[in-house]
Amino acid sequence: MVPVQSEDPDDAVRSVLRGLAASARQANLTRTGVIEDALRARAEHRVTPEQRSAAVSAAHQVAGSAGTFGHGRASALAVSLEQWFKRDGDGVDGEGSERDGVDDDDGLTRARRELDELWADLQEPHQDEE
Amino acid sequence: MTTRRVLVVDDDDMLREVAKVALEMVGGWDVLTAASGAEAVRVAAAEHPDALLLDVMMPGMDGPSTVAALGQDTGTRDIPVIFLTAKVGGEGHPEWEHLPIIGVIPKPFDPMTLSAEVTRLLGW
Repeated sequence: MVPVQSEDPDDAVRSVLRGLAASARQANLTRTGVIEDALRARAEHRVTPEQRSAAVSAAHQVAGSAGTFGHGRASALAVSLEQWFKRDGDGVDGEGSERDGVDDDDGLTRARRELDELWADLQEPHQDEE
Repeated sequence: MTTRRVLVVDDDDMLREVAKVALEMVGGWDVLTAASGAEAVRVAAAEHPDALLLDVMMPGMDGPSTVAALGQDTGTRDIPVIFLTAKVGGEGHPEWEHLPIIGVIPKPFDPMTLSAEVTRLLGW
């Protein structure tokens, strides 16, 4: 007897999503480490242009990936962090030297809090995660 | 009826897989994939897909650079390109205005409606 293949396409896509969700979440947690390194270096006034660029890229990737896999809050936090690193980087001169006062301590504190929230959000498996 | 072939370009393995599955299973299309802009240019030249779904921020050759490279080849310059990118604060992208792209699909995207959005943008 030939088995009947009657799986709904939407169900099939959701099944693939569930299968990939854990890997995607782990990849995004790894990306938060890149953001963490840059943010810590920024707080200590020793962030390099390469670290800043890596943080922007990592946050951008989290923003795109996390939302697709059901972590909407994490995606929004990553967008905010990407914007902050870009905005903060606007005050770096062509030699890569950081000028003071680009973003105030409140901005840095807010970025720190958002990163903590992002990390906490990504710790929680999505309800559909296998 | 000929089945459409779409090339999905993204350096994120998981997103590439989700887009592929969504376009194949929901859209019913054949899907090629590439993990970088350089690979996308090679695959597009060899396979001549009906459209490209192209991530913007990638290491090495990014989305705009990939579009420019495709435009250098008469065999690929007419392939319609849709950017796929994480939306940042609703800001516009005036630097893309001169690029011959069909449209932009923001990330995160909904896998269930991705093929419908591509269909709408391309007028398929």
